[in-house]
This record gives sequence, structure tokens and C-alpha cells, in this order.
Amino acid sequence: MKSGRSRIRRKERCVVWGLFSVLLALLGLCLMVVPANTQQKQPIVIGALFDGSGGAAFYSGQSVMGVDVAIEEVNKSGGIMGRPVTFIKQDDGNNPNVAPIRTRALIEGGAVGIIMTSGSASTLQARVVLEEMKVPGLNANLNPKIVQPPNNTYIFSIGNDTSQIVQALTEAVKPYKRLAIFTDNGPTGMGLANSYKDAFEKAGVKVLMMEAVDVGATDATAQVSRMKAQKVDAVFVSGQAAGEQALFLRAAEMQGLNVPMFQDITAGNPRYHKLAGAAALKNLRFISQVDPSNPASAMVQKLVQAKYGPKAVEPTLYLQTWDEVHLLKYAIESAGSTDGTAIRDALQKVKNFKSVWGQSGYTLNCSKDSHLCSSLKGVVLRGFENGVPGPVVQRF
Amino acid sequence: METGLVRREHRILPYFTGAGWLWGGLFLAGAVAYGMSSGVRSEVVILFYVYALLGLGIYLPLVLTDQVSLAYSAYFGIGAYSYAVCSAAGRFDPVLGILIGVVLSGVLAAIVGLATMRLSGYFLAVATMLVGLIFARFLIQATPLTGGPTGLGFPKTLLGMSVSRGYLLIGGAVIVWLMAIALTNLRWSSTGKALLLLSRSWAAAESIGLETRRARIVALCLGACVASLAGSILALSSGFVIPESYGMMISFLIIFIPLIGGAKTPWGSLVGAAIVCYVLQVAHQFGPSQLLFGLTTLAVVLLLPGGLLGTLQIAMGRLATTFGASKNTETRDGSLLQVPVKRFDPGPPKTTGPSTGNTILRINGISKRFGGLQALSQVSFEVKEGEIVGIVGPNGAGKSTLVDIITGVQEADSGQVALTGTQLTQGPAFRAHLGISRTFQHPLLAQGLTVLDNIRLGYLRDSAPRSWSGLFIWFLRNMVFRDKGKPGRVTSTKGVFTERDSPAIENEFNLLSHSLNLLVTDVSYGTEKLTESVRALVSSPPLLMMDEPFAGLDSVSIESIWRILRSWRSRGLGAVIVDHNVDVLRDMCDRMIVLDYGQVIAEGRPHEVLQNPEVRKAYFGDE
Amino acid sequence: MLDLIPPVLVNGCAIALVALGFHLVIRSTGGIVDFAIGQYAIIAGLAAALISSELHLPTIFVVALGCLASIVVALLDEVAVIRPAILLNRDPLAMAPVLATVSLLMVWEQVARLVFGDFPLRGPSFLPGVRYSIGEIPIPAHSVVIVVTTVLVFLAVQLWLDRTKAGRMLRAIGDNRLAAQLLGFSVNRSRALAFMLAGATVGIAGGLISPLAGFGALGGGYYTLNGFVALFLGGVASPAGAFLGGIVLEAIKIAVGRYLGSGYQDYLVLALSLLVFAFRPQGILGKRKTRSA
Repeated sequence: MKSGRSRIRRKERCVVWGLFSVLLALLGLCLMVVPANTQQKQPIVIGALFDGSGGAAFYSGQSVMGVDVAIEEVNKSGGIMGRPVTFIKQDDGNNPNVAPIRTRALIEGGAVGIIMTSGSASTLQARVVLEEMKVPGLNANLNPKIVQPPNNTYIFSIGNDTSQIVQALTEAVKPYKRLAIFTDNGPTGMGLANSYKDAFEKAGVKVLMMEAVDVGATDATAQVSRMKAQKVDAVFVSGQAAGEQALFLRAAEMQGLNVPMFQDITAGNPRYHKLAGAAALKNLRFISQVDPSNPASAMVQKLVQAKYGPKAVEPTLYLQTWDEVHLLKYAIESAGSTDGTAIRDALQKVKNFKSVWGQSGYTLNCSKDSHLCSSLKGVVLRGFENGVPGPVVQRF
Repeated sequence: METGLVRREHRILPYFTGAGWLWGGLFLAGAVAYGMSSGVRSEVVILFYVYALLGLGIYLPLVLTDQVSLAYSAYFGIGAYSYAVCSAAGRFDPVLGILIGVVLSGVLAAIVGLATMRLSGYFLAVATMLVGLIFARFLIQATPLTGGPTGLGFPKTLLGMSVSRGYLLIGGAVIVWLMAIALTNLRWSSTGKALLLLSRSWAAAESIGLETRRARIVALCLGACVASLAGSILALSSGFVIPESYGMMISFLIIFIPLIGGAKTPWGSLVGAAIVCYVLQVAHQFGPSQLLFGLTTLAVVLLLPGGLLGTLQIAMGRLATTFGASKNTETRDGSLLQVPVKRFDPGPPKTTGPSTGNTILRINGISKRFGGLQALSQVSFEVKEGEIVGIVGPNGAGKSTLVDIITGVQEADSGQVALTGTQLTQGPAFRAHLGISRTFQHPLLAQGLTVLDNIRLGYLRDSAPRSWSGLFIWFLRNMVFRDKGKPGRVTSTKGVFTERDSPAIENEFNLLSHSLNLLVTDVSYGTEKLTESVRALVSSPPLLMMDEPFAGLDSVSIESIWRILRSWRSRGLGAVIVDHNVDVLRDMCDRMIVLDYGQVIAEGRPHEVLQNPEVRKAYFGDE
Repeated sequence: MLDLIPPVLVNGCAIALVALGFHLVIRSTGGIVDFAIGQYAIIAGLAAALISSELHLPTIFVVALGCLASIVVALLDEVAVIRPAILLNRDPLAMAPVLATVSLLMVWEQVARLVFGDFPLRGPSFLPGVRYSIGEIPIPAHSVVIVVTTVLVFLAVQLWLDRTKAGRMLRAIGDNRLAAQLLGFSVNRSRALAFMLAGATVGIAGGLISPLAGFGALGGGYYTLNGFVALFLGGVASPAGAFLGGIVLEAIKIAVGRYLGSGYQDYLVLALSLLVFAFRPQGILGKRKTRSA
């Protein structure tokens, strides 16, 4: 018995040792490839913080496509101040604990500007490092806290935050007196939902109730049932968890909660439409940052799709990061230096910067007091027809 | 009983395992140097400190008392948020926040421990997992206090000064070093050894006077306090807290830390923390960090079951053996070998009758039912000073149940047990303190300790603290002061141990003299039983209860135990021996009680009892 | 209130199937919990979704193929990880094999992410668009399929455990591996079979639920946690306990969500679990065991 057992043990151990040696070899390789702690060489380095493996990976991936293609274009047209641009990125796994270290790694890798494409929580944590190291960062997260103190003097946001989205929606939502908000109950979702609630109430729209489902939940019947019992007459679908949002829409449709639904830019994702299905989408109107009649958008979309093909799915995200890269370029050139503070000051002076997203002629404007560079002219309101976004219902 | 798969852990290289403080200190010094070299590296090193402290925190309940607590993310979070809220509020120095965090964590751990006191294994895991989940939910929902889902930012100050990276690097290293030393002290102290016995069997630990439930909770509390400290350090270093950092999954990560590095010694938590930190922070460029982490932990769990340090120790042991270092194995006791092996002879027959001394133990009307089976029915008898009472009966007669009820391991349905007049209603540890000492059917010894260490555990029977404050102080004192003692002598440590000076004890030690420094995993079954017997009597208990002490022994070992009992009786203390081997007991006991189907069917002098026709019927069938 | 019954049944059945998988694993390994089990369901659901969008096969084949994926993964785990872990650790309640399954959960989550992408996918339903109704309450045909299938699976597994030789062997090896080995049972083969069966039940759950919920690659933890709690609530010792636990857990969650609001679900589940564990640790259906030394 003993020898048989040790024989089996040896065989199992051989296999597992083999796998382990492979792993060890990989790790050993990484030790040999010392991460370059480059000094300022000729190229200008732009860094991106992204999520490669966590809950925001899909969105982050799309954003990174925009950065990548934008930098390629910049290099094709001569770089920044005649110098080529290098793109480095660091993965934080959507883990806000890890985000500061990665950001620091980007800065130590020479980045003069950081594009934040990971989750809001990561951006919030990473800001502290930007502040400490005096390196500017750009992001397009929805969370309004990002550009609010503390630690907000080096971070800029070029997307629309929740209060702007609510402003756009207020007119559409005002006739409804019993508004409910739906969200997932993960920290990101709750953060967004809370800020939407505050924004609605500030705009004079009363929020009757807020319902949440677990991340990963398989059922939203209870939440819909509760809304029906309270005679809710409109719902704002919040959060960033597309699975749970689709779940809600389908449950609402099935249970006959036949009221107008509103959603922010997260409803623009075609994969989300497939997930929800045409029947569930029929009552939904959403704020979109992509106006199909904007020629600049179409041009950039073509470029990105040329490189990434069918994987480039969410134009909102990569159009915005395209803008972020070009804003950086503009700021560096207008400051005439790669010093972080100088770039930041130049960014604060940005006026009428032509954006590639939003309505035709939409421009970005920043100031010292407001690092939120976008305006309502960025968004349009669209409905759905047969499960895909229909024509623009309203331009703001 | 030796099995072929026993791991031989030789203390051949004690200078490697014993000098943890030196190696650990060097490692930490290296970490400080590494951290000073760049901003990113300093962040990584500080995270390493945090993980190391978390590993040390969970070392207490996980390794020392075998409790898998998945609520550590909550204690971690409490420490972080206490500091954060205090610092953000700005009215008091944030040091107060750290202290509040430690206290709150301890309190929460005590509550969770009390609520889950009757749970073990998976129930404990699920319950603590849910606690972690609720805490994370609370952090998200309690926005006015915690800043809600988007977290809280605050200045990084301590004691009025802002804390620079350099101070944090050095200070953190010192804290980790001291904490690891404190836990090492604890592990090798009497507390740690008693806890090792607890891992083996709670009944054995109670029999040496350890209040096991309370000890477990104390371990949980102290570990939670350490985890809280880790959280405060992380908050202090980041300047920002966010609920996601303290989610339930962190609890699993925390458990991996001592397991990857080596669970046996607290320094393993440092190694584990370093590996975890490396995989999560440095190796991330080669793939998703979760994937790498999962693969690494898988590899460690499968290939290095003792953790990195454990494997290293075994490898070194094998290396030393290859180079011819002598193996310590048990040799048969030389003195006994000179005695020609003969039939067991208990010595001259007892001439005195039943003892006329005071009653030590009085049992009255004990009954116990297990479902449809009446295990004991109205059992009553007495044991006097200087008496050895034998309880015999066929298998299934209820003998072991009776011993369990007397010692408090099980509760009777009815009846009373009184020791020297005091009614016994509380648990086994209380009864041990009052004066009952016992051995078990299968020797329950602390694995990983030597024979001598196991014997010395017996001294705790009437001196181990039992109150909550007593236990806390005991733990804390043994973390601060080294309490190793030297073999062969018992250290006198202010009220915890007392010096015993009876020459009779020396006799009993001599029986084991060739095996005193061997690990109990390396000795024979007979030696194990002997060890347990000696453990039971080193504290001179008024009443000794032995459950089947002769089962599975050869005549040489039986003779050794008999010698012990003889010297025992001559000192006027009482003993109850339960066995089904009537021959052996017949010449040994003053009185014999025969149980059958849970009832006393005979009582009296052995030779009288054995003539009893009912007894003969029970044992041998019809005449 | 009656409109809550369909979701309780449907989701309860899904969780019950996961709990059943846990039960089979615990039975066959003498106490080890496989934390990666929830992820098998996810993989099955995602595979079904992917196959359905690429190949357009009838739903039953798609679900079966998804189930196959889950079985393969479960078997792989048993052979490559659980088996060596058990061999290296004699005490079946030792932590190492269980922790290995936690690592497996992480690994399979990432593998699922790499294979299926980051965005949630939804599989095909049975009889899409067909809806019955009892009074005002809509009941999609697919929900009926879920409940019926679950009941059939439970019956089948219970029969297998009671009547077949392989099933009885499973119970024997769970109780005492060494004794079973000495009696000539092939412990490894039995255990592998149990894992495959667990993979199948969990895979069926995944395949059937994925059209309702849409699965994200990282969703395994949710099912693991819920299945785990459900099993211990209902009684770890029998498949019936798994079924009851699933229904009861979902009933509590949905009822609390409906009447008290979504913030309270977790608190109530915790409170209830603690109560049950403290006063009835063997679960609703279990038998009390005496405490061993």
C-alpha cells in the first residue's frame, strides 16, 4: 500500500512540478527583464491606467483602443513638438488599492500625462498620486467627485458627469412624479446611483425610491414588484453593471412595468442591446454622447475599426480617449514643455477645443475653477427601435 | 502508532529555525532598503508590511486554534476606517483612531466569536464570510460616516506630524518585526503549547485546564486587533480609503498568506506576504494578476504543503540526513531491557481493604440516553482517598460515557457528580481545576511537541487562567516575554507554573528518559500512552481517571503504567481506571465496579466481584 | 405576493442545483468544499451562449454542450488538483484542498474572461416567447422547464445514490476513505464520477439560467456563496437538504427585497444563517450529530 501510494504521489507530483517549473521559468524571465526606469529620453511618454482583468475590463479595453489609435495618428503627423510619442500602460485590475502604485509606476516610467480608463474608484485613488507627483491626468468617468476636492488640482474630466446628465434629462423626467432609480449594489454602482439621486433632487425632481440587486443576481422580480406596488411612473436605470441593468429591463417588461425608462451613456453599448433584447428596450431612452451626424466621430470610428475590427464596439469610450490624447498634445505644445504643472496650467486654459464626440461643433472648455471640461452640448437623447438605437429624439 | 507516512521532522538544524528574529530582521532590513529606492517600490513594501501583519493577525486563530475565520476583512476595514474617519474629522489626533480601531475590532471579534462559539469547520467559515460581506455592505451604505461607495480622503498625519514615506518604511518594518517576535514567543510558550493540544483535541485541552472556548475567542480577538493595526497602516499610507479594499475576498487572500509562507512559524507570514505582494504587484505585467495569483497559490498548496518555509525545513532535514547526521530514534528503555520479558506481575497482593479515607468523588444516579439507547442508568458509587477503583464491563457497557460525564466532556441527563463535596456542574476545564485529571482511550497529545513538552502541559491543570481577563493577560504576557524553559526543569514564571519538587515525579520521568526529547509523532504507542499518563499526574491531581490505559500495550509498557499507579496510590490520591481487561485490573484495584448495559451490576473487592454469577454471565455468557 | 412565487422557484432551483453539486463533492471527498463550483455554472452558461450565437443549434443541444464544458472543467479540477491535494493531506478536513479550490475559482474566472470576453452573455431559452399565466402572473415556458428539470435531476441523483452500486460506493468513500480503499473500492474513480456529476448538475443550472440573467465571466463567486449558504441552511447531509435550502434562501432574499427593500437582504440572510447555525447546525433537514473529542 505504501509503495503504491508513493508511486501515485510521485506521478502527480511530477506533473504538478512540471507545471510549476514552467511558471517559475516565466517568473524568472520577468526578473531578468528589469522594468526600465527610463530617464527623460527623446520620446514623450503618455501613460494609461487600465483594467485588464477586473469588472471594468470591457469598458477599459475600448478606451485603450482610442488611446492607442490616437497616439498612432499623432505620431503619423509628426508627434508632439516634433518628438515621437510612446504609449505605456499599467493594469490595475479595477482594484483601487492597486491603482496608486500603477500610476506611480507610469510616472516613474516617464509619463508626462496619464489617461485614466479604469473604474471611478481607481481614478479617485490615483488622483492622490497625481497630486503628489504633479502630473496631470485626464478621464471621462461619470463620477462627479473626481473633479471635486480633495486632491483634484491635477485631474481633468472631459466626459459628462452625473449632474450634467441629470440636467439634460430633467426636462424629459419632470412630468413624472414618482421616479425610481434602479442600480446594482456594488460600490461603483451605488456610488453612481447616489450621485444621480443627489443630482435629481438638486434639479427639483423627487426620487421616490432606489432599488438595487446584487452583482451577479439572477432575478429582479422583487424590485420590479416593489416599484409596481408603489405606482412608480418612471425609472432611471443607473449603475454600470450591464448584466444587472438588462436583467431589470427584462423583468420590467415581463411583469408589465410599462413606464418610461431612462439611462445614461452606459446604454449605448450594442452588446447591452443584445443582452436586453428588443422587447425590453422599447421603453428606454438614453443619453448618448455619440451623435451619428457628427462627421468627426465617423472619421475616428473608421480609424479605430480599421485597426481593431469588430472588437471596437463602444464609440463613446474610444472617441473620448482620442480627445484626451489630443488635449494632452495641445496642452504640451501650448505650454512648450513637458513639466507637469505647466501642462496642467495649459489644460486649464483650454477653450473651444473641437471634440470628436457629441454633437457637431461640440467643444471642450476648461478653467481653473472647473476641471470638468464638458458641457451639455455633448449629449443627445435617443430611443430604441427594434432593439437598436433609433433616431435622435432631442439635442441639448 | 507509527504509520509509514509519518514525516520525520528532525530538530537537526535548530539554529535555522530558532533564529527567526535574525533572519526576519535581515529580510525586513532588505525590504526597507528596497523600498527606499523608488516611490513605486516603497508602496509595494508598505503593502508587504500590511499583508505581513494581516498574516500574523490571522496566524493566531488559524494556526494556533484551528479556526478559519473569514471575517478578517472586517477587522482590517475597521482599522483603516477608524483612522480615516478620525483623521478626516480633524478634531483629535488620528492616533486615537488607530486605538479605537483596535478596540472596535477586538469587540467585534469577541461578538462574532461568541455568536459562532458552537460552530466549527464550514459553519464557522460561512458565518464569518457573511460577517465580512455585511461589513462591506455597511461601508457602502453608511455614507455619512464612511464616505459611502466612493470612499474617504484625509490627511496622513500621526501624532501631529505628517508621516513621510521613509518613516513609514522603517516604522512599518519595526512593527512587523516586533509582532512576529511576539507571536513566536506566544507559540513557544506554555500558551502556545496548550493551544497546540487544543488543535489536536478540545477534550484533551480541557483536561489540562484550558478553557477552550474562551481561549479560542481570546485568540480571535487578539488576531483581530493585529489586523486592525494593519488596516490603520494602509490607510495612513494611502491617504484614502474605499470600501472595495475591504471586501470579503480579502479574507481569502489573508488566509493564503501564512499558508503560502509556512504556517508553523509566524515568520512564514512574512514570506507569504512577500510572495503575495510580488505576484500581485510586480508580476502583473505578465498577465492578469488574479490568474497568476491563482496559479501560484495552487502550485504552493499542491507542491509545498508546509508552505515555503515548511518545505525548506523538510528539505534541509533531508539534506542533513544525507550527510549522515544522526537520526534521533527511540531506543527501547535500556533498563527495562535487562529485565527478562515475563508475564505481567503486578507485585505483592494488596493487603489493605477498601480505604478508610475521605470521599473524593461521589456519583449519584447518573443516567444518559442516546436516542433509543440507554447508555447509563442510575449509576452511583464513591471513590475515597488512596483508593484505586476499577470500572469494568463488556464493550458498550457505558464506561467511556461515564468517564466523559464525570470529567464534563458530556452532560448527563440526570444525576449529580461531586468532587470533595463540591457539586460539579461546569465544563471540563473547571473540573480539571478542581482536581480531576484524565487520560483518554487513544492518547491525545499535541503533535509537533516533544514528549517532555507534552508532559509539562499537565502542570497547567490547576494553574492555567480561566477567567477572561486572566486569559487575555496570559496571552499577552507570553507574547511579550520569552518563556521557553529548559528540559528537565520547570520554569517558575510568576504564578503560571510552580516548581514541583517531588522525587516520585522524577521516577516517572525516568521511565521516559530515553524519549523525552523526541517528537510524539516519532515514538511508539506505548510511549504515547505513558506520556499521557505522566501528563495527567504531574500536577498531583486529587483524582486521576484513566480510560482504557492498557489497551494496545505490551507487558513492558503495562508494567510502567502500573508502577506509576502504585506510587500514586501510596501518596494517598484517588484513581478510577476504566478498562475491559479484567485480568489486569483484578490485582490492581482496591474495589471494582462492573457495568453492563449501563447499569452497575456488582461492586466490591475484585475477587468477590468476579465470583458474582451475574458478572460471569455478562462477561462469559452462560455458566 | 403570489407574483413572487415563480422567481422564488426558478432561482431557488438554480441555487439548489449548485448546492447539490456541493453536496456531491462533499460526500465524495469526505468533507471538502469545492469553491470553484459556482464558476462551473458560469462556464456552462457562457459556453451555451457562445455556441448558440455561433452555431444556431436547437436549445437543448446548446445547453447540453454547455453542460459538457462544465463537466470537463470539474473533472479536470478533480484529477489535477483535488486528487493530489487529498493524497498529500491525510486529514480530509485540512484546509489545503479547500484553499486549492479557492485558487481554482480565481483561475477559472480569468480563463472564462480570456475565452468569453469581458461582457456578459446571454444564452438561448427554451420556447422563447411562450408565456403562460396564472391570473395576472406571467410564467414563461422556460421557467417551467427550469423547475421541472431541477426536480427530475434531484430525483435522478437521489435514486442514483440510493440504488446504484456506484452511488452507494460514493457514500461509502465519503464516510471513510481508508476503509473503502481497503474494501477494494476505487476511490479515485468514484470521486471523479462524483465531480462529473456535480459538474453536470451545476452545468444544467448554468445553461438554464443564463438566458434569464446573462452571465459575466467573473460571476462564479456569487453562485458559490449562495449555493454554499443554501446547502448549509437546508442540511448538508442530503440532496433534499440542498433543494430545500435553495428554495428557502431565495424565498428569504426575494421576500425581504420585496417588502423591506434591497438594502436589507444581506443582513437578514446573515441573521438567519447565524440563528440556524447556532441552534440547528445540521440544517433544516439534518440529524443532530454528537460532538466528538
